[in-house]
Amino acid sequence: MIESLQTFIAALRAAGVPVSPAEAIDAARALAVVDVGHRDDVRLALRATLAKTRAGADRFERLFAAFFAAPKGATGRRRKRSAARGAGGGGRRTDPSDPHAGPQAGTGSSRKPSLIDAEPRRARPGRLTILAGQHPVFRTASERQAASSAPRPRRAAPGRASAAGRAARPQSAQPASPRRLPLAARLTRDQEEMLEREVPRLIREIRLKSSRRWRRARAGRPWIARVMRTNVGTGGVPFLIPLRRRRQRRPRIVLMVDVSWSVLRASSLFLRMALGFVQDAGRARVFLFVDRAAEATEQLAAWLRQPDGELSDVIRRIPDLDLMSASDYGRAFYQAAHARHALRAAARRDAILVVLGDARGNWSDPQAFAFEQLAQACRRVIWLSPEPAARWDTGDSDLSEYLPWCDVVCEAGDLEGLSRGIEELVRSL
Amino acid sequence: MGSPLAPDAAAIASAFEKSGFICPPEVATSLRLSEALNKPLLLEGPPGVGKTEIAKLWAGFHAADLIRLQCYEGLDEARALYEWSYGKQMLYAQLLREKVGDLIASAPDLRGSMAALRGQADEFFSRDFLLPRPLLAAILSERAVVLLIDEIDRSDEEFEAFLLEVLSDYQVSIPELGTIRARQIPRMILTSNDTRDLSDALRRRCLYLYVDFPGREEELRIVRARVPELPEELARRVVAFVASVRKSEVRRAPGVAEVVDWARALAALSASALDVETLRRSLGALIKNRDDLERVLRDAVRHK
Repeated sequence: MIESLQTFIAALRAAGVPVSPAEAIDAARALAVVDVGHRDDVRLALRATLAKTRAGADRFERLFAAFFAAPKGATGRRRKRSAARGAGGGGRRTDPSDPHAGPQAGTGSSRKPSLIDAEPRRARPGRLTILAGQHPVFRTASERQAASSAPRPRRAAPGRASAAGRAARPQSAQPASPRRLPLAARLTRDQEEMLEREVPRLIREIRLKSSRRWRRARAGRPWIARVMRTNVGTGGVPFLIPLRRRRQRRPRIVLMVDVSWSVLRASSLFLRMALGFVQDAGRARVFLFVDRAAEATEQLAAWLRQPDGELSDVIRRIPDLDLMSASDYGRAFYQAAHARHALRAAARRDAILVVLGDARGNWSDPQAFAFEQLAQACRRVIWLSPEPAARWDTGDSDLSEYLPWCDVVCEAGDLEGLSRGIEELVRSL
Repeated sequence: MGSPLAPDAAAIASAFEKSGFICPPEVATSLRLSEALNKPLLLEGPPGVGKTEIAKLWAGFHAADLIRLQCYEGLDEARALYEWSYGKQMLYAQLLREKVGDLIASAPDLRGSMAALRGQADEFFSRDFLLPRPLLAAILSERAVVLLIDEIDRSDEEFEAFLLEVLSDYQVSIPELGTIRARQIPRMILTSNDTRDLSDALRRRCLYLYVDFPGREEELRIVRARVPELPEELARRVVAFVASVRKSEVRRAPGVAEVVDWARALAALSASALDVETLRRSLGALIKNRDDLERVLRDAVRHK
C-alpha cells in the first residue's frame, strides 16, 4: 500500500501537483482511517490530503482514474504506463481515424484519462509558443466557444488531411502548393519532384530573411547615451550617431531528429534545410534517433560539404542507429539524458535544443522526466512536430508529456511548417 | 496521532441531512479525516455553496461552540488573536495608586523605585487583562469548539502567514505571556471564495476540499428538503432555470442559499409555473445584481 502510495505521489508530482513530505504522511495516515477496500473512500482521502488547489484536484482525479483503474486484463507494463501518462501532465485523445492509434483507439474503454483540459504545466519560464493551427488543446475558452458556434468546415479530401488550423481555409481546386504538401502522406513522383525543387528555394528565402536580420543586428542600434561624448569635438552637435552592437552569442545547437519511417521524409528535409544554418552558426551537434540517440554530426557535415549519394543512405550508415526498430521516445530521451551521453554533454546552458518528431512512442513509457532533464539543461527548446496539430496527442502520441518543457512547438507537417520552425531556430541564434 | 474515535462519514452525512443539509460524500469524508488527523479543513468554492453552513453543522454535530473569525482586508492580530484591555489596566492603575505609592515610598532613589516596581508591573500584563479574540478564545476554551475562519481569502497575506502557527501547532505566541498552547485541539474550518490564491504553506497545513455548485439532482434534493411546500415539478423547473442562469454570462452565479430563498419566495407567492410575470416578481431573491437581473429576464422573455 505504502509503495503504491509513493508511486502515486511521484506521479502526482510529475503531473505538476506539488506534494510535500508532510502531505504524503497525512495521506498515509488518512488511508489508515478510511476503508481501503472502498475505492471512493481512498480517492476522497487522498484528494483531501494531496491536492490542495482546484486545478490540483482536477489533475488528481484524472491521475487517480488512470492509476487505480487500469483497463481489465492490462499487463503490468500497460498499467505502469497509464500511470506515467497521467503523471506527465498530459493525456491523449483517441482519434479513431488515426492510423497510428493503438489497438484500443476509438473504443470507449480505451479512452485514457486526459489532463488536456487542465492548464498545461509551464515548467519553463515564459509562455509556450505554438506555431500551429488551432489545436483544440491550446484554444482559450472563448476560442473554443467561437469554434463550436462557427459553421463546420467541409471535410478535407483524403490525402489532403491538412492541419486543423487550415480547416477553415477555403478548399481550392488548384493543385496544392509544394509547400503545403503533407509530408506524411503518400506522394506521387511528380509531387516528390516538386518537393525537391522547392527545398533550395525555401533555403534561399530563409537565408535572405535571416541575413537581413543579421545585417541589422551587426550594424547595431543608436546609442543615445553616447551621443554627447562622441560629439564633444563639435560642441555636442550630433554629427556622429554612435551605434551600440549587441553582444554576439554563439549558442550551441543540439538537433535531435527522429528518423523512424513515419517521419523520415520530414526528418530528411528538415536536416537538409536546417544543417546549412546551424553549420553557419557553428557549434551544432546532430543526433538521430529511433529508439536510441546516435550522434551523426560528422557524417552529416561531410555529406553537406560534398553531397555524395542520398541523405537517407548517410542516415542508414550511422552506427548505433537501428532504423528497423520501433520508435521509443522515452528510451531515447532516457538514454540521452545519461550523464555520459554525448547529447547530455552538448545540452548546456547556452544550448538550443531542437527536437523533430511526432512523439509517437508505440505505447512505451514516455519518460518525460528524462526529457525534462535535457530541456532544463538548455536555454531554449523547440519541438517540431511533423504531424498536423489536430493529431497531436492522439493515439500513441506523447506530445503533451513533453510540451511543458518546450518553449516553442511548431506544426511542421509540410515544407512551410518546417521552414517556420527553422526560422524560429534562426531567430533564436 | 489522529483520533481513533472519528465519526463515520455516513453518520456525519445522516446527521447533516437531518438538519436539512444534503451532505455529499466528499464533505463527510473530509470532515471525518479532519477529525481523525487533527488537521484544519480548507473549504474553497464559489460563494453560496454552503461552506459556512458546513462549519455550523459540524459544530452542531459535536455539540461544540462555534467561534467564528470573519476575515476582511486589514484584519490584524489585535482583532483576531488578543488585545490588552487598556481601560481595565488604567482603572486598576488608578485604584492601586496608593498601594503603588506605599511600595515605592521606602525606595531611596529612582533606581530603587524601579527595582521595587519590577515584577509588580507585570501583573498588568497578565491574563486578567487579556481580551481574547476568536483565535485565542478557541485555544483557551475548555469546551469543545469549532473555529471557523471565514473567507480567509479576504485577509492579507501577512495575516495568512500569522495563522500558520495556529494551524500547525495549535498554539500562539504572546510576547508578554509566552507561548500558549491549546487546552484541547479545536476543530478548525477555513473557508475561501477563491478570490485570491492562498499560500502553499497554508494549504499544506490543511486538508482541502473544493465545494462546487451541486449537480441538478443534488440541488433538487436540497430544494425539496428545504422547501417541501414547493411542488416537485416547479422545483425541477427552478433547478433547471438556475443551472441555465449559472451557465449564462451573469456577473455572479446564484448560490445554493439563494436558490432556496427563491424557492421559498415562489412557494410564498403560490406560484405554479415559471412564467415571465412570476420571474419578474420573484427573481430578486435569486439574482442580486441589476445587470444580471435584466439580462436573465431578457433571456427568459426571448426563450418564452
